[in-house]
Amino acid sequence: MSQSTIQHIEVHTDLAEAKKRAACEFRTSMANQGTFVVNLVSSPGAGKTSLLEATAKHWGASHQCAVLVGDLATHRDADRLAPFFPVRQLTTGGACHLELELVARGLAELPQLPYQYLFIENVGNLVCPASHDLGEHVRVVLVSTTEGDDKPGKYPKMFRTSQLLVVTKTDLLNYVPFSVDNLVQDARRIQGSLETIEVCSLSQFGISIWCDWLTKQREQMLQNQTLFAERGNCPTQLAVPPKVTSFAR
Amino acid sequence: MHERSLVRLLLHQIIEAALKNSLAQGNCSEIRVRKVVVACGELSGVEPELVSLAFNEMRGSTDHSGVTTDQAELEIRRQPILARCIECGFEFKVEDFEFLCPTCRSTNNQVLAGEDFHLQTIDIELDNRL
Repeated sequence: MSQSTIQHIEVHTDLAEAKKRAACEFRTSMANQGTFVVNLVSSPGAGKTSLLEATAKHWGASHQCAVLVGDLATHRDADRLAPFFPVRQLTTGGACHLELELVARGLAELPQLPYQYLFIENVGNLVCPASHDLGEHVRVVLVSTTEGDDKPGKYPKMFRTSQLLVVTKTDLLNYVPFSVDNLVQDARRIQGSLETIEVCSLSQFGISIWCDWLTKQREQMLQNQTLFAERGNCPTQLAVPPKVTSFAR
Repeated sequence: MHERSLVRLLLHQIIEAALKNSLAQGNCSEIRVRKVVVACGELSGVEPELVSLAFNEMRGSTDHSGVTTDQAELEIRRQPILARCIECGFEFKVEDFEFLCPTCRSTNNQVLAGEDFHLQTIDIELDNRL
């Protein structure tokens, strides 16, 4: 014989908890090695690869950087960046965003040096990459002057979760109906503390400001790792070991 | 977002919670999940209607260990975005993704809720052997 009973169970589980924890651990581990991780996000063609090429030209061999670049198919971006950086192309097949597992796999395939900067060039898409924490220390969203100044309000999560807005292709400002002020105003309704830098990667305009911003952010990470470990909404407080700065900045 | 992979994860979590509970009970021959309540944050990037469609299509697909979900009903509670103003401490509901403090007009704030997708409760029917 059997008897049937109904039970009500309080579960209260965040479905993304395991992923958040993994991202926080990755972020902490990278900070401990002195590697500042930058997740570059934008719509396709906004100029992520060009910004990295310009960054390499500005810094020359003075900085130890590596790049992981995500696309659905081809090695075109990796081929462009290979003259400048150790680079791995992450081809996602059909997926419209990168996930941490893919990033960790790509990182393991790079030469095992202590990098000062790891740039992750995400798949061009303003929707899904916003929901995937790759263990980065900063998320940088690019908007090009050719794609319109109305994007922040239409893709709020991407702008809410980014720390820096880079306006690209400023050399075209005279030819397109685009207002940097309107863009920034729209973005700051969503993320009040969002910083902004204007660049033209082809002419190197603004690139020194961008590179100085990166340097400053990395120095802040080296001085206060806890601040960056907490970024990305960690499920629990992580114990951050003492910082290690074993190589020259 | 990717609602189908989210629902797959949700079904695994439901089964895990049901099994954990039944182990504590002992003597259960079958567990039928009757109701599932989730909270879907407005800033989670998850579309509730797509979750609902995927759930109705996929429930039952991951059943094992005597737990069945094929008749489970899903209730999705929308979680508004709640934020706290860093300047004046006021807590407010964010409307239309406008993160503006209604008291001091500052845009410097911290999100308290509405970013996540939570499994809140499940109702299960147990067949206890007598």
